[in-house]
Formats: sequence, structure tokens, C-alpha cells
Amino acid sequence: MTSIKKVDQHPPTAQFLWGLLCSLSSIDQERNNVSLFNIVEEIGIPQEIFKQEGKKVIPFVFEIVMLLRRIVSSTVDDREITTDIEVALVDPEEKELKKIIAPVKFQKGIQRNRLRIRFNTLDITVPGNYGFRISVKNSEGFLKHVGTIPLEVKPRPFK
Amino acid sequence: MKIRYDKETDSKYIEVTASKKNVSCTKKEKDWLLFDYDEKGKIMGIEILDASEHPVAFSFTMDDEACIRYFPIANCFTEEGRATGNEKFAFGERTNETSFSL
Repeated sequence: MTSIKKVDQHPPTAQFLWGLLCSLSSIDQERNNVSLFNIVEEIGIPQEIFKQEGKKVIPFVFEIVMLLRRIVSSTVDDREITTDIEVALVDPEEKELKKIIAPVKFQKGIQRNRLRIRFNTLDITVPGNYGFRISVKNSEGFLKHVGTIPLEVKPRPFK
Repeated sequence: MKIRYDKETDSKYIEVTASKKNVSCTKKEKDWLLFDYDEKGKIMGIEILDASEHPVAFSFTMDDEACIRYFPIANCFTEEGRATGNEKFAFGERTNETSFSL
């Protein structure tokens, strides 16, 4: 029995290779390598904050770092291209709290783009599993979900 | 959400909520940046003129107190990372860099 593979007619223009959340990143200017410091998967927030209803904005400095690779077609294609990426912060109840849209440029002959976004605050509603949903524009202009960076928000007793 | 780019005019339109026909007013933020709002003051779309000359990121909230902000993007187009001559393997990355702070 043969299985029929569904072909995506309009794939995203870039591939999401990896992404994570950290407190700081640094670029070695000589070698162009990135160093990541304090990778964050969970944040503890004083439980009193959750007594307030609705959205809360807490001071939390962090960075989202991700690596994207241009989609290479069957023919050799290394022209300069610009695409767009969306990062949407989604709370545990699937509500979108914040959206960021940014252009990403791949220079001629360069396959990868490292995107670093620095945040000074975090929007939260309730404790639970949050996600930074990454979407990349496809050839039709629509944004396609390519990956999610998770963050668990936990209440902790105030000392 | 849909993002349209017109190569001929070098303009970009970001459809935030719905089609352009529901737009009730347009605010000119800069000569090259226009925000479309509906009758309730909710952001509908963003138009960027001369888009290739203005690499900007946008941040917006989707609740009732919807606000939109924009940030210049730093693009460091590193040609190639260099490895020192003493090393057996070269770790220099040929990777473009895009970064901005919200």
C-alpha cells in the first residue's frame, strides 16, 4: 500500500532551525558565533500578582534567539531575499497577548539568519504554559506557524 | 494575518485584522509609515512605504487597549566569521544577524 504524501503548495520562505529563550546572548565579532547565557524554561512570579484580574506586565529582561534558514528551491538560488517573521506570545488559555513582526534579510549567498529579540517586560495573565509562536511568511504572503518556544510561568510564595 | 509586498512601489502592507475596506481612518506616523484603524480605534493594518529603506519591527497587543509600537532593526551582515590560523577547524559562521530591542 502506498501512502500519499500531502505537498505544501505554499511553504514558508524560511525554515525555523532552532529557537530558545535566554537572559542574555552575545556575539563573538571575530568569529560571528553566538553565546547564550542562562537559558530560561521557567519563571517564578510572586503569587500575589495573579490576584489581579486580566493582563499584567512584569519587568523581566530576556532574549529570544532563533536561527532561520532560507528555503532552498530545487535550482541553485542564493539571491538576496527578505521575508517576514511573526512572534506571538500566547497564554495558557490560547489568548494572544502580544505580537511582533519583523523583516528578516538573507544576503546573497548566505543561507542562515540569526534573529535576536530583546524584551524588557513579559505580559502574563494566569500561571501555566506560555508559548512564543513563530510564524514565517509564505510565498502567498500568509504567515505559517513553524515552531513554538515554551515558557512556564509558575506562582511562588512571596518571601 | 497577511503581509503583502509590492516590488514595483517598494511598499509593504501588513493586514493585522481584516481587509482594508473596514478602515475608517489612517494615521500618518511618519512620511513612510501609515497606520489604518477601524471605527473603534483598533489597528487594522500597517503600510510601509520605501520598505527596503526602513527595516522596522512592530509590536502590538491584541486586547482592548491595543497599542502599536515600532523599532528600528539592526542588521549586521557579517560576511564571514574568521578563525585564527592556529586552529585545526574553523568555527567562523556565515550567518546574517538581525537584532532589535523592544
